[in-house]
Amino acid sequence: MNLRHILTIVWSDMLILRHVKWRLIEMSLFPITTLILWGLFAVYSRQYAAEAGMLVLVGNLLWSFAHLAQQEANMLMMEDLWTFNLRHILVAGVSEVEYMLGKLCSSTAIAVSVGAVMGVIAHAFGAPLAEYGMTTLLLAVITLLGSLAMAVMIAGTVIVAGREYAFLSWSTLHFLVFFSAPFFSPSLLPAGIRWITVFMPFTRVFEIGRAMVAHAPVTGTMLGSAFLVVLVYVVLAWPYYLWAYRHARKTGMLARITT
Amino acid sequence: MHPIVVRNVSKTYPSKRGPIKALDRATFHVKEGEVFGLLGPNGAGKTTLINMMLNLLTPDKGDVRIFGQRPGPAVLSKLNTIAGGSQFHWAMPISEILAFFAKVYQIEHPNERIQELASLLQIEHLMDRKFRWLSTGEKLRISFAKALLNKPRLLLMDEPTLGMDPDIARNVRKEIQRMNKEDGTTILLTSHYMHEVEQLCDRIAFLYEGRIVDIGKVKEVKLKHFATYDVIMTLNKAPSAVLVEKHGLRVKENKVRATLKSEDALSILLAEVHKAGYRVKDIALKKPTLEDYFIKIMRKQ
Repeated sequence: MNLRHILTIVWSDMLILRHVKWRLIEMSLFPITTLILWGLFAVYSRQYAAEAGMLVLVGNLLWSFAHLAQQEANMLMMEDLWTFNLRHILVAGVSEVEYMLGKLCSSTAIAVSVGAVMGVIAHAFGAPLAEYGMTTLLLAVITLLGSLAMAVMIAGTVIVAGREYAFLSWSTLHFLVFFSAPFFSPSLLPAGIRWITVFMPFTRVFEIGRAMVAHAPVTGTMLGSAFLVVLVYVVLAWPYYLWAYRHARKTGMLARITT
Repeated sequence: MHPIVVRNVSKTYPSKRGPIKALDRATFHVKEGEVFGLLGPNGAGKTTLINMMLNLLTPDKGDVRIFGQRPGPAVLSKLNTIAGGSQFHWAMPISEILAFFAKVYQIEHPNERIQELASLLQIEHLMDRKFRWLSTGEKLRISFAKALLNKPRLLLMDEPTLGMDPDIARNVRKEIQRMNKEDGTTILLTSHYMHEVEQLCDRIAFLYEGRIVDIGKVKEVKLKHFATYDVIMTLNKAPSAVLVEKHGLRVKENKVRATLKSEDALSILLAEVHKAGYRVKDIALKKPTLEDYFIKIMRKQ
């Protein structure tokens, strides 16, 4: 593992963001404006249902943060694919693991920066983030780990299946969030699909978010179980990613998509 | 240890219309300090071979070794590559693209090396421009600068001068020769410009439908397929029947054409022409070029 390779990938991603200003707007404008909208809704809806708006606000905060971390890692990789830069990087002796770790560091930096702004906005609208202190921080770390694991899996899938599957970069998490019961209890879902929520990376994260809004205690068991599910995704993601490269080298897909 | 060893390499791509054989038991090696040309028509398997050397593709059977190792990150840092039509991030200025790769290749004095290459390839004025605003020839020069950044021990070149202005292409060829002679860089080259291959390569291999159908020194492979060459002379008058019969000349008025087997045969012919009292007003030798060789092999296959 060459640390300089990883840092160089991060350095180049930051340079690209400096030159492609619309990316900065894209990655911050939508999550922040949506959060402000839901914040205003939370304030307005207090007179009808005390915590309903706040549930949506916190759910949205977690959802946006997860989406941002995953999507940015994948979009930065897609940009290398679309500009044919990935070929130059891989044939320069940067391993696929170093490359992906670089992308994950870049997306973490982006997600943490935008996430911090979103956190401040949510706090201003009354979300009990400061009240839960360390729990909030741990929840952010767990969400981030789950997102990055998803990003690694999506990257592997694009390498195996081809550029046409780039849409997974911006659509996968929406699909997963749907089955993660973000604003409600999983028990509300039809029995036939309820079992899916157990395997979703963010079901427990949203559950903890809802407990925070209800000012209920968040136990170590709750955090631990959320972490365990995410850990399974992390553990599965890397072998899958490495297999994807091996397979794409065998089928010729890696040469095809990078040329 | 040879920089490149390709042993019995086969590769078949799956496809909806049935499997496509890209390489069929290809075997060759490239010696240290050699300029080796891979020739063949489109789809012959040249790029497939280069992709295997770059660890973008694995063989179904056989083995590819670079400096004795399987292609992978460790060995890739010792080589570099250039392909015609290469692209980089469209929004990045050239100076940053080269600085990025200088960091990746861990060049000791990156700024000096970038400056050196910028001057060699005449790209100093492009350093602040973004990649997307460059012309095809300019983009190629940037690719070339990237390929030379790490002073590679092995350079894999896939149609490197495709689309370059002739003067820049000549500079590039000079630089390839200089790197090969002075730095001892081993070079593997594919090109559709036969004069370029002839000028640069010590040995060539001809690939056809994934098989190596011919391999050897440029002069030797040409000799193998063209044992003769033609001489065309314009004389002051039509030659006598005796001279025509003795040397098998083809005559059109006072223009004669002879097919000769050796340079001695040319001396003998000229001596006899002179002895018979003819004056040679013009003479041209038509030796087979690599292009003639390419066409002949293609027809044969």
